[in-house]
Amino acid sequence: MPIIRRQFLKICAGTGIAVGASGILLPEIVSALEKAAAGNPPVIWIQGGGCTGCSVSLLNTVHPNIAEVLLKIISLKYHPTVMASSGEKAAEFLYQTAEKNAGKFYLAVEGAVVTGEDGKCCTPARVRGEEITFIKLMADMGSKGAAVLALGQCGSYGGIPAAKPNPAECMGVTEFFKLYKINTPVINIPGCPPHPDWIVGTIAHVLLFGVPELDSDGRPKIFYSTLVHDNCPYRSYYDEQKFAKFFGDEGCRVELGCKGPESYSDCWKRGWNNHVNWCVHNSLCLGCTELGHPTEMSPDDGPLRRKGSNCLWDGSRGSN
Amino acid sequence: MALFGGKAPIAYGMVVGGATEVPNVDKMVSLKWRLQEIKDFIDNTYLPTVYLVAGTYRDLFSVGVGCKNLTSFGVFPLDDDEKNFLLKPGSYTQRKDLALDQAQVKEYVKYSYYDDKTTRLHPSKGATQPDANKKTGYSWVKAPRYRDLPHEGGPQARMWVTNPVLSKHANKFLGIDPKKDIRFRDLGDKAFSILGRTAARAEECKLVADAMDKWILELKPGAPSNIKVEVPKEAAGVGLTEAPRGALGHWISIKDQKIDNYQVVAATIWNPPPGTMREISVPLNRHLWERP
Repeated sequence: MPIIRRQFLKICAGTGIAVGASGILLPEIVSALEKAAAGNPPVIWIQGGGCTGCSVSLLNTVHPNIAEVLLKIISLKYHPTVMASSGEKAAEFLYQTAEKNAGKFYLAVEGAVVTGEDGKCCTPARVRGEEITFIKLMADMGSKGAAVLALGQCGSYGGIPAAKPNPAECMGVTEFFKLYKINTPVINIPGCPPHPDWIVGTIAHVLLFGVPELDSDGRPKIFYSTLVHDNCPYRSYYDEQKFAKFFGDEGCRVELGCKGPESYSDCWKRGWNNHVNWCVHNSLCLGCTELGHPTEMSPDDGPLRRKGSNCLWDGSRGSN
Repeated sequence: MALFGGKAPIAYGMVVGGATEVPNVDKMVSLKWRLQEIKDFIDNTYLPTVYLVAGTYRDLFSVGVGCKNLTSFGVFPLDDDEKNFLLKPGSYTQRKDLALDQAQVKEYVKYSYYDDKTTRLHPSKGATQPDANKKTGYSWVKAPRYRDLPHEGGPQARMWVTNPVLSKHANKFLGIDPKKDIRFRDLGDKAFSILGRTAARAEECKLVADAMDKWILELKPGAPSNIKVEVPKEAAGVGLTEAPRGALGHWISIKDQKIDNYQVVAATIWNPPPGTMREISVPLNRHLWERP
């Protein structure tokens, strides 16, 4: 079954045969992806200042076997957490793979680029006695790749490591590339962590059809184009101006600090962990897919970017 | 986790004052069924596999002895006064059982990239002053010590301190009458080994899963799950618990309703804190040293 782009987008958007969690990975589609991806350039996955949450999220892709996805579709050649090898040999293999596929491979970057103390704050490898800082790794790999997938809030925009006052001087890939004048295209897949579908879907799109259409914050429109607030199960309360003052109250949660009105994602229809739940059902949206999370969206228990009576936040980011 | 925390990994749903989710019968039942599957796995696959492997690689019961100092901050209180715990707080220090005293936790920075003046401080007075060019430094991790000694944390430490009754799989493995209860310390020196730690993890899994099964029914559907909290003008606090990998402590002081100092002793750093290879008292260094 040859798979065409429109079909693929339909599946990703969750309007196809099966919505969400493993929709992208139906057996027919997996085999089609496998064929289409055969011989395609590999993905190299590196980690900077992060918590490995993006990797764990990806591993939560239950069906089919994640190993199949990683090896056959994504042709993941290097992943510091999943692979067995480590140390100097692994670092040399990383450089060899990048060299062999220069200009063709896709670089997945999990975690922020840590630039503090000339990069000494983050040294993922040591080769022949020389410390390889994450700055060096990013400069070497970033300039050689066909495109970079900046994973999670940290890889995309700096995330929690870059939160004020940012002592380790962390930043997202785009900002780092600007600083180092690297022109490789960057695709942001923000979220804390990103949904496994967003990761697999974007990588599959890149391998099969090239870079997907991106929004102004560099995110694929297939996954990040709907406003959480417009699709919130509590939206009608907002329209009636009925606000919850306490967790467990009936009402819209915007006064408890929900960032749904300024967050774009498709969590509301995709659901997490095989449709078990999503943040808004449980508590509220923290805006983890948005530029500025968490600093400009904190504290978690304050209202939306405006000063409220019970809020410690000083309202430093504009007002409405 | 996703049921009550929105999603996993990185669950939300815990706020100052409690949890965001008000339990309802649907979720409780759903959790009970899911837990049943997990318990089945632990009883019929996980534990038997661990002891099967243990039977084949018996030499691994004598490898990786470690520093033999263990600490647990305690987790899962069984009453409101936090007097009884499913996994108890306490330490096993130089072969003596001691009550937990959080004042005895200190952080050393000799091999860490932090100012030497900040070494050996209690976390409530802790300071984090980076010094990236320090000659003796090679890590950004501080070295936590309890009673000024390296201690190991994690399932083995918790099981040793708590010393609960083990599953019947353990009886079978040790060839002991299944009617007899055996406890973790009955493993003796075997507990201080690669397989001892693996068995501790598996047995602990069963202990917690069985307890959860009862706890689910103690939830009160519709009852409030959090209380309103005012941030005090000035205060100091400490939170001690156990993460899967070991003892976890947070120390905070508040001034003018703002955080003045916040120090975390992360669970992960008890076992591999920085130290020279000569300092084999550091748990992970010692394990690497002793590897076959």
